[in-house]
This record gives sequence, C-alpha cells and structure tokens, in this order.
Amino acid sequence: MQLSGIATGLGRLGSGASNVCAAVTLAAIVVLMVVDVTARYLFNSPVPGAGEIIELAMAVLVFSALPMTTLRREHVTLDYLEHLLPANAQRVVGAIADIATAAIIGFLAWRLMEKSATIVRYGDTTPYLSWPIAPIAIFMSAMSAVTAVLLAISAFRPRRRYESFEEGSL
Amino acid sequence: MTAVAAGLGGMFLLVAGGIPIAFAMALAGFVGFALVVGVSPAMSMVGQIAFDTVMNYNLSVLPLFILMGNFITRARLSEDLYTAAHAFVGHFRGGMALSTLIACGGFSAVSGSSLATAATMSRVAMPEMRRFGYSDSLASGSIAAGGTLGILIPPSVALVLFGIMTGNDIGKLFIAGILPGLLGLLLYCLAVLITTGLDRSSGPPGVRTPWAQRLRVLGRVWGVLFLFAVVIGGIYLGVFTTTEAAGIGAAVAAVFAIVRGGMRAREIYGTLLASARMTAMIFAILIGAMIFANFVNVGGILQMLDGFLRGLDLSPLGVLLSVFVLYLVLGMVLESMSMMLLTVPIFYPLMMSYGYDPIWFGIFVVVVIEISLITPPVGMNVFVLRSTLPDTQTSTIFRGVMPFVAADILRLLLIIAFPWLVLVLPGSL
Repeated sequence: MQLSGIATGLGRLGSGASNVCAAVTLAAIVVLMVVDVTARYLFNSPVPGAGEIIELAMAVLVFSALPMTTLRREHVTLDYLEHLLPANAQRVVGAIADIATAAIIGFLAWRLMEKSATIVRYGDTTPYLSWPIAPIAIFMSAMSAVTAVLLAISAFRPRRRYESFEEGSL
Repeated sequence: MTAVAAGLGGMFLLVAGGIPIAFAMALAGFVGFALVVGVSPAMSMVGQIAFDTVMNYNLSVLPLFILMGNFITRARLSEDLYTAAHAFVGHFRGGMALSTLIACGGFSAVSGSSLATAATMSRVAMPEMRRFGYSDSLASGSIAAGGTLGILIPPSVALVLFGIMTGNDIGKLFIAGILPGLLGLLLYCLAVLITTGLDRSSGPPGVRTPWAQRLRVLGRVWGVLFLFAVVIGGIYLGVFTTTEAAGIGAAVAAVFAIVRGGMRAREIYGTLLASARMTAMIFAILIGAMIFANFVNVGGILQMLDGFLRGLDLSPLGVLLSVFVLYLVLGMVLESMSMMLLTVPIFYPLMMSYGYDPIWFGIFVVVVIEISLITPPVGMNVFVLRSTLPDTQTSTIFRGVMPFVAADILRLLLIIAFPWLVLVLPGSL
C-alpha cells in the first residue's frame, strides 16, 4: 500500500516535470523566434545563435514529450485488425505489442547512449555559441530509456485509463 | 530485392499486430539495413538518424504550425467562420453544406491538420444541418470532405513533411498549394449543388441574410484573414522564412486565443502540452520513416522499380497513373502521414527521372493522399467524424463522401492536364 503510494507519487512528480519541461520548451521556442525576427527587423541585430538554441530545444521538446505520448498510446497505430479479435485476445495482443514497442524504444535508447558516448568523447559543441551538446544527447537517451521501462510496466494495466497518465498514475 | 520485400512484409506484420507504425518502420528499416549492409553500420545509423532528425532547426516548423492550429482550434473561430459563410451562401440549395465547406476551407488556412478541421466542424455544423432536415449522408460527407481541404491549403503539415523528405523549399510548396486548394473547394461546392440537384430534399435552402447582417458577421472573421495574411503573405513576400512564419503565426494565434477566446493559463498549458505530444508523435514517425528510407536506398528497390518500369516502356503519364493507382491501394490500408513518409523516398526520385517538376509532384502526392483520407475502408477523416457523431453509421458517411471523391479525382485530372495550376504562383516567387 505504502510502496504503491510512493510509486504513484514518484510517477506524478516525474510526469509533471517532463510535461512542464515540454510545455516550457515549446513556449520558449516561440518566444525566441519572435524576439529573433523582431530584433532583426527593428534593431538590425538578430539574437546571436538563435538557430542553435532552437535546435537544442527541439531535442528537449521531442524527448520530454515522448514518455507521455507513448504511455497515452497516442502514437499512430492501425488497430482495425485488433478490433476484429474478441476482447480477451485483444488484451493479450495489446500487451505483446506494448512489450515489443518497449523493446524497440529501449533499443533506440541504447543506440542514443552510444551516440552520446561518442559526443562526450569528442567534446562536441554547437558551432557558434560553443554550447556542449553532450547533456542534450544524454537527455534524449535517458528519456527513451524511461519511456521503454514505463511502457513495459504499463503493458499489463487495464487499457481504459490511458488519459490518467497525464496525472502520472501508472 | 527479396530483402526489401521481406522488410515491407515484416513491417506490415508488426503494424497489424498493433505496434505503432513509427516503431515498426524503425525496426524493419534497421533489420533490413543490417541484412544488406551489415550489423555494425546499421547500429550507428539508428542513433545518428534519431539524433539528426530532432536536432534540426528547419523541423521546428512542425511543432510551431501544430501549436498555431491548436490555439486557433480552441479560440472557437470555427463557429464564426461557419456563421459568416452561412450568411453569404445559406440561401442556396444545400446552403449549409456549402457553408460547411467554405468554413472548412477558411479554417484550414490557419490550421495544418485535416483531422482537426473535420473534428471542429462536425461539432459546429452537424447539429445545424440536422435541425434543417439535411440528409445525414450529405451532412457528414461534406464535413469529412471539407476536412481534407486542410491538407493542401497552407499551412500544411503534409507539405512540410514532403519538403523535408525531398529537400524542397517548404515556402514554395505552400504557395503552390493555394490554387489547387481553392480549386478543390470550388469543385466540392459544385458536388454539393449537383447532389442537392438530384435529390432536392437532401439539402433544403435556408433564408437569405440581409447585407447589413452579412457585413457584421464578416467582421468577426477578420482574425483568420489576418493570421493567414501574416503567415502566408510573410512567406510569399519573403519577409521571413517558413520557420519564422510558423513561430510568428503561433505567437499571433496565442494572443488571439487569449484575447478573443478568453483562454486561461491552464488551457494555454494544456494546448502547449497537447502540441508537444503531437510533435513527439510526428517525430517518432519521421525517425522511423528516415530509418526505413535508408534501408530502401541501399536495398535496391529503386533500381528494381525503375528497371521494371523501363521494361514496360510506359510513357511518363503512364508511370504517373500507375503511381496514382498504387497510392489508392496503399491508402486503403495506411494512414496518410505514414503513407507519405513511406512512399516519397521511393517515388520521388523515380518521378524526377521521368521529368516531373518536384513542387508539382509534391502537390500531386498530397492531393492523392487527400483522396485516401476519405476513401473506404480506412478513411481517417471518416473515422474521426464517426467518433464525434456516435449515432451516424460509417457506411452513411462513406456514401455521403462519394460525390466529393469524384470531385477530387476531377481535380487530380485537372492538375495533371494543366500543371500551370500548381506552378504559376510559386513561379512568381
């Protein structure tokens, strides 16, 4: 009881953090772009390195939204074949599909980890601002890993409550 | 060749089992690439592609246009658009169906998504049409078809994806979509007039609105016109790049939703979040499609297909029509976005070798996909509509959509016969 309470609390905290991160990043991209264009036209001086910041922000945006998108089953799926099956079989096939998807995302996390290691080794930075890229690459890999683990755990939960993943209860 | 067939087959198997199409494409692409080139290069390819796809300045156009559309959807502009259109054409035969189509056209000029357009319009227009005794098939058909206008009239997520996959200028693609989009609207309206002409009871005319009233409701939609003018006008005149236009558009739409739609902080957060999730969903497909495209490139399917077609000795038009038929078949099982991302890497180089214009082919592909959005058995717009109208049969919607499919095919033939329709506006850029 207490353990599951802690798990729910952690889930809420984690999903809340990643959601805020995604929303704030998207808003920041908009603001940065508006400021950049305005500054270029009004003061003839665009924001230095705006393009680079947006590139890094894109990676943060996509991968901070990945866990929620996946847990809420919002990826495009062709489920019309599944609907032909009886309800029980649907649940089994659905769970298998979730596990397989989790495995693919886990594989992606591993590949991104390898890529991050290379970036760390070479100390890659953005060309103009010289910001390090490694933290972003590690973030991408970590968020994929989190997504894979959570999806695998949630595979056996009842399917009707996907929207509740917003609140972080697995 | 066998590798490619196995890759495609494996992918469809995974998808049929309920694995999201993005991850099925990624897996099939990885395994295929590993079989053809080797495991080690395939391993590094996956990480590299995932990394490069998200860390891309130009691709920020996707979340920004999605955000703009989501703000506009929640600013309740669709009601105003419908009322305005109705004030002008409501007294015609089938006037409410015409209003629906025009409102859809207007809505899609500020939203990049076809499904969002269909979903919002069904809430506004369907109860009205029912109240005035419209047949369910005409009412639902016009909403489902009207939604497809959104995919071509800029801003358009589909055209963005095409531009990204093929390295063509997204701004040019947008401008090229304007005339074919308007032509589509015109032909859809004709389809309504013909349908109601054949069966007068399916869409009775409404009351004529006086001019004073017309001007008043027209004043309420200036926001849509303003937003369209800023975004598309800005791109056309070269004031800013497509990516910047998307950013400005999202900001203006946000101001609009707050000032006119009375949106609160909580809803703004929700809109940002929903847009972020949609972005993650699209990027997952994009990464999967890029991995699969890499496999297609090394798998020799292009050479095989090219050799096969050369052997048939078809004219360029014959090849184009074969591609069209293939798209219709694929559209019966695949969803539009994945279909686009899956096929363009194969067909684009092929059609270029037959001398077609890249921008023209982009519009052609999008029109064909638009048709597949409303054709059975998997018409995404029809399904979205079905979920918002629980008491309407899927078969009723499909029946209602048929006149519009005919209009779409007519439009496609016009675009093939007169490429000018597509190329005149971007040519003047």
